Amino acid sequence: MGKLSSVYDSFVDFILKHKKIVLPVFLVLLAVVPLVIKSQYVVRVFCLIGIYCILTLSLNLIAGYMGQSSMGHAALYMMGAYFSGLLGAKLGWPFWITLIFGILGGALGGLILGFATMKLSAGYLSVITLAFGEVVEMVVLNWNSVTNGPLGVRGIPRPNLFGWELTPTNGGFYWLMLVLVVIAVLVSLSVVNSKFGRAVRAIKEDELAAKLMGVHTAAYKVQTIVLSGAMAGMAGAFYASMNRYIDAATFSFDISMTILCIVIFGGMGSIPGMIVGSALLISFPEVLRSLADYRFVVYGLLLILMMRFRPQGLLGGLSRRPYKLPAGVSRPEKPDGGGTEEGKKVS
Amino acid sequence: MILEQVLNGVMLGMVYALIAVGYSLVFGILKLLNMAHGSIYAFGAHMALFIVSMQFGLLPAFLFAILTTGIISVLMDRIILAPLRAKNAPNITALISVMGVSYIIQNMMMIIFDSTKKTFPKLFDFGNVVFLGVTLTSTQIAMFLIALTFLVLLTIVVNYTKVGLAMRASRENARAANMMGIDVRGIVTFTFFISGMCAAVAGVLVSGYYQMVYSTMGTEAGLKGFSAAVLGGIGVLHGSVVGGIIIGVAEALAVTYLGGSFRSATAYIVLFIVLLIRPSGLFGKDNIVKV
Amino acid sequence: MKKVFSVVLAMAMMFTLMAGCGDKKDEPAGGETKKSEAGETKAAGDSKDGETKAAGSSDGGEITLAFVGPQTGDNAEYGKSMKVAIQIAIDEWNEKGGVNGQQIKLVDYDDANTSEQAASVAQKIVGDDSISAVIGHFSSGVAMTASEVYEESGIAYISGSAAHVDLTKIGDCIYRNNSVYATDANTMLQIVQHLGLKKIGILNPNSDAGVAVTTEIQNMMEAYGDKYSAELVLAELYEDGTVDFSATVSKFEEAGVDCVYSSGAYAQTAPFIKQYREKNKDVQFIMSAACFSQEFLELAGADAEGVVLGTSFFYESSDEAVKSFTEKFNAAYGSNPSTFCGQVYDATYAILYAIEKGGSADRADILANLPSTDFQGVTGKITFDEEGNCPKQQVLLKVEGGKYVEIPDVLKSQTDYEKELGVQ
Repeated sequence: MGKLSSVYDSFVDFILKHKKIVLPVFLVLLAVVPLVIKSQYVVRVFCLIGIYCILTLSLNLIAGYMGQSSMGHAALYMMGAYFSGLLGAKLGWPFWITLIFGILGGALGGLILGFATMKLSAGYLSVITLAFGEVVEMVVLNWNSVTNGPLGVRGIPRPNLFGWELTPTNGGFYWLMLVLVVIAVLVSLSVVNSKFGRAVRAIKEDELAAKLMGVHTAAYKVQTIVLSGAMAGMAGAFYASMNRYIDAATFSFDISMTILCIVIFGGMGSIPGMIVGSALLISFPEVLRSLADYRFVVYGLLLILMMRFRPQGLLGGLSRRPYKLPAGVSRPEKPDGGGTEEGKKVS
Repeated sequence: MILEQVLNGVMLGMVYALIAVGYSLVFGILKLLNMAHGSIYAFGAHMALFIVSMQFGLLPAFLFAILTTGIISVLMDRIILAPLRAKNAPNITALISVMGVSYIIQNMMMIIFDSTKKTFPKLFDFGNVVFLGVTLTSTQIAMFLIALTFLVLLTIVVNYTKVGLAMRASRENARAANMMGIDVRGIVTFTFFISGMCAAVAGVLVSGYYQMVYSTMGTEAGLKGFSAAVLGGIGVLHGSVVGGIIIGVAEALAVTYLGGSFRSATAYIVLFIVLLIRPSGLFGKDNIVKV
Repeated sequence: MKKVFSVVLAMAMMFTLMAGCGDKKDEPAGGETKKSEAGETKAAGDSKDGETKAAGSSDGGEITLAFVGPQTGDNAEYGKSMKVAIQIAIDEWNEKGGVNGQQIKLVDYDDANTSEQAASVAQKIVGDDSISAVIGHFSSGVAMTASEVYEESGIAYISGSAAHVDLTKIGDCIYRNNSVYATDANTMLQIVQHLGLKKIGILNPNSDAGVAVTTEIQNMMEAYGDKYSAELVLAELYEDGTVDFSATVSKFEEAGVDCVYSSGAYAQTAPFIKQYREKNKDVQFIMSAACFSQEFLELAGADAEGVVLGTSFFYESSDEAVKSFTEKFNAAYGSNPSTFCGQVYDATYAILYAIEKGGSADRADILANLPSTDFQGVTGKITFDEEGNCPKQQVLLKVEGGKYVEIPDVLKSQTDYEKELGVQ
């Protein structure tokens, strides 16, 4: 197993070396997918993968950089979908504006969650998020006059770009998804490489030490969760417009668990890990339909084997560099490569 | 009306308490949230159903369920969790692994026993009892008494026996316990067996209470039991009982005054408030952070 | 930069993976029927030629219908049983030579009763030109999500189980062969009056169906005013997945109801009835067609005795078609068909009649001919109104001696009943 993973690592290293050629090629390849692949179904599955990329990147902010897990992430996703969907369906607002409100809705959820968990120790965040998920679902199901209750929201408008209506079949949603995923990746990258990101990771490594070093831990925690909520809200707004119908049952506890599993599978703290993880685990049930009933058994086995033999996740061990050093500070040469140790810790 | 609903809640709370102690036992020693406990509980109920459906009667079914469920719980530890501990892997890997186990158990049950709701024999029937002007059914009372007895027994084992002492020693400091000659490995195995046994007892009792067994029965009950354990202070046995009862009563009162669609959310809001006031749960020890 | 690069690398891996997935798509549709477990054999055989792009062609090939339903997960039982019912309908047609000389074949897909998967599966179906029409999806919300896709690409879809009030309003491609809420509500009011009950309690799931039926009952009672003799004492909702009803039972007892109506599925109503019976032996339970299944009788056991319900399908009806369907279903599945099974069976017939009438299995031709559907099915007369709903005439059943027994000539259509009552 060790040998296998070293082969895998050197494969990744090899590609990293030739990045200047490979990078633009793949970007172009991705952009032309709807033009080349005629199957609407495959394009739609791509869109679903894109949604999960955003969701896992969102959870990755909390799990990967802050070291806390959330079992109610679907609630933030749901808030984004409902804020955006309701404004679109009931007030007829265009998608681009409701998208912003979807993001704000998710951020609002994050804010509530952040304040509620500010004072709690790390392990309890998962319990609180679980409770939060239930409470959001209750509000959606019982506030009939606003949310339509269990009847769900129907007729959510599609985005319109200068007279061109984006649909899942004309590739519009695919390109929109690509743009949103790129935004989510850029936001994640900027978090990682900023003072903010370093502070957040300091909290993960040793909260008390960070506090003593003058980091406002509580404020950083809340900000991270708000940012995470905003990203999940963006995914929700996209989902609502793509499927045009949402109800509370769509954003179930299972979705929260799927998001968490992908984050762990892909490798906490690794941005490419989120993308590869989403691609593999979301297409997995689609590709393996022939396994029918045994699908989730295989899914469970996969998680167990992963934890046993590659607990850092698929790409979790890849970040060889702990963080970008401020300008003028040089990295001390270490023969054994100090970065790898950091990489391990991320897992 | 209020008294009746509170009593209804207490009975329901005992159901949650039975499940909660399973979480607490394992967490106490390994600091692990055993997310597979809900599935293991459903597994116990299905094992009992299997023997009952072969016409062997309830008592053999009960014993068989306890044995098989205990074994599966131990196997889960030996095969999946022990290697992770040996590697000193971070706690979250164990958490994800047990989630994987949960997926496997639940879906295997769904394949073998299919997704229909199956009927389970009623355990007790001696008519209704009127208590303080409130009518309680025999199932409710029997359920309450058996659960109470079981929980008291469990508390005695953990607090007043040699094995219990070893369990508590391992909880405080596994390494020191090991040096003092305690077989920590054995104690962990024993704990998993007991926790599996608790799941089976809960599974059989609850199935008899509602006269129903189905493959996804562990999901909802597992989450509520988990919440009860956290509310009472996870790792503390009597905390789980109190936590279970609080959640049960909160649900019953929510149904009474707000309506059935508010029941789960109310339970979670209560949990939420308790954690805001006492971050380690009602009876949990506050973690002292060493500088 | 390295980070940006690895992101792109990741996307690349995703791309290659999905490309593989895309290749697979051109093979015979993923979820192709592998003979239902019940030993159902496909008369049509497995010839893959029908899969060629000859869009639902009428030139000698096969006609393909798609069924989508939960084959895995919590509601797998419904998906599996509905699939058997559809296969029986198709086999019956194939035995008498198919439709327009073409054999019919069923492909089935699993949506695990989740909206997310249903949308993907729906897209897969509409992208497969060989498929002529779609039947299925279990829950309302799931059917709603998938219907948007069917409507957009113009393929006929008939639901045999979804009850969402807006389902057929999505568009012209969406049909339903299931009772609408108004029928269920009216049936319940007729039953209450027939049994001479006075104080009604309602316990419905907090789902689209539950809330809508409750509202419908309240509106009807308001419209009938003094002409209607019973009063609604307490309307309650419960959460999906509830098993403990003790608090709800106490609430009903406090309110002093003499009957309780529930439109929920057997998994929740059976434990509710059991828990209620322990405290009160006399209360009358009125259920909906969702409870008409053998599983309900098994789960509720002796406590089911005396329960009444209205349904559009009764497996022990004297009707010849029903008898033969029930017999075949029993042989294939090992239990009696539920209302939903009867409804998807008729939905299959509706589509096949439309193909026969138009002489073509073209998607547009099926859509053109569905509105004029008119035949006697196992769930009554099948016609579609302008919205796409099939008006249902229900019969009253009572559980006696562990079996459903028909009580004839009690239930009338809503218009007849209202005329008799003297309203409108």
